[in-house]
Amino acid sequence: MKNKHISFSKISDLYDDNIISRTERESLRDHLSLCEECRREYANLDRMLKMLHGMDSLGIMDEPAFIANTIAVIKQRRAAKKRRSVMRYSSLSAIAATIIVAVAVIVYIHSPRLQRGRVAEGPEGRRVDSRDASTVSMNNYEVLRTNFDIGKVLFILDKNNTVISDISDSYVVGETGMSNYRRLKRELNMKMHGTPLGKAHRNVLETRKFNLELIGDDWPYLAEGDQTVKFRVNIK
Amino acid sequence: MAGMTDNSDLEIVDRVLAGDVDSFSEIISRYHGKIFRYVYSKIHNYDEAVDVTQEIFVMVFESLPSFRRESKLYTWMFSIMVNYCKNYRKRRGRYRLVSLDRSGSAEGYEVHIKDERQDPEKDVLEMESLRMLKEELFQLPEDYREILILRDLEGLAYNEISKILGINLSNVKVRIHRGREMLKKRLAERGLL
Repeated sequence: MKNKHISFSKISDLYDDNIISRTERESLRDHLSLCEECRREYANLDRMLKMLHGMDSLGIMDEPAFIANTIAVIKQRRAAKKRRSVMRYSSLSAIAATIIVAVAVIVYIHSPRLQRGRVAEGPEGRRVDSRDASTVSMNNYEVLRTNFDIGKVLFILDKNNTVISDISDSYVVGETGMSNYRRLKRELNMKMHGTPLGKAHRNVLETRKFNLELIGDDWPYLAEGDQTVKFRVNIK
Repeated sequence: MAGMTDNSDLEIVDRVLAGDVDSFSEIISRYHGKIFRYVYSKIHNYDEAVDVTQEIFVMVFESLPSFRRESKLYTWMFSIMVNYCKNYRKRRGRYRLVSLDRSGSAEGYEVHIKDERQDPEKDVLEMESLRMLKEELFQLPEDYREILILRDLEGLAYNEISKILGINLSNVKVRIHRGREMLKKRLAERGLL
């Protein structure tokens, strides 16, 4: 080391003296104390780096204005971001509400509940609540969902304040007042083909698709006002 | 870059995150010089460098919630700064071309000296030396210029530079050696050394 000059990279490392080992540093310093050329190199590097440090005066001219402007920009963007976020959330909620309402409407339209009547005692003493699908057998429930004709009949029956007591895929049994029964005839768009007395207590009405008949042991033509009569709609 | 500064940096960060936006002005006040000098060395245009410095601070503010405190605040900020400058270059496609004519700055911006010494002749000489140093530094290849600014102007440690630039320590050392050597030669040619 004493005869050979130190490379620039070693001089540079020596300047940043914490990156080389203590032994190496001491050895380099020993050489510098003896070699004038290397000492000059080191002095030049030292001078250059001190000049570089002096460049830290290079900066923004109007510091207070720069800081104030930057804070103002930050606040402005923050407020804008909040506004955007609020708008995004409100439009999202509007979309969500629209979807919920649309789904609810679709479900309601397709739900058999729309087409069913009220609570009644079934023929086997079973309580039939037309608004509660669990009381209708699965088979009938499926019929309700898939069979448009039954749906149509149930809709008309419900509208005319009838009480449904039994439903199957080919008929609907229910009760209603005599005045409602007459309205039912019209609603179901039926034509009376004749009610011969000889046919005793059964009144048969022919329809295009449905067959509505009074059932029960009582003489139906004696029924007056709101006296309850039993009927059955047969679906062809 | 003392430890105390870093602790108080974190205290400021806490205040800012708690909603006190004005506290962020302390961070700006502490680091705008360092960030500006780096940006200016990349852009060579005073007004543009001021705008970019401002954008970097806005970005730092917006990214503060993601600061994990695994490194010092300024190391993290410098990483943002380096990335922003890289992206800025891509966005612009090129740096603005500026004249580095040795007779003076085409940008009308001279090194701003805050020194208040009473020796005008010495001041003028020093100003001239600084101007030449700035010209030579800014003419260095980018890799060397960048690393000399971080190490010799801003005083960052080797490992911090390695983290900020995403290069290994031996690369940092090599670039520093070569950059210093190149700058020394140029300054010697102009009679400054």
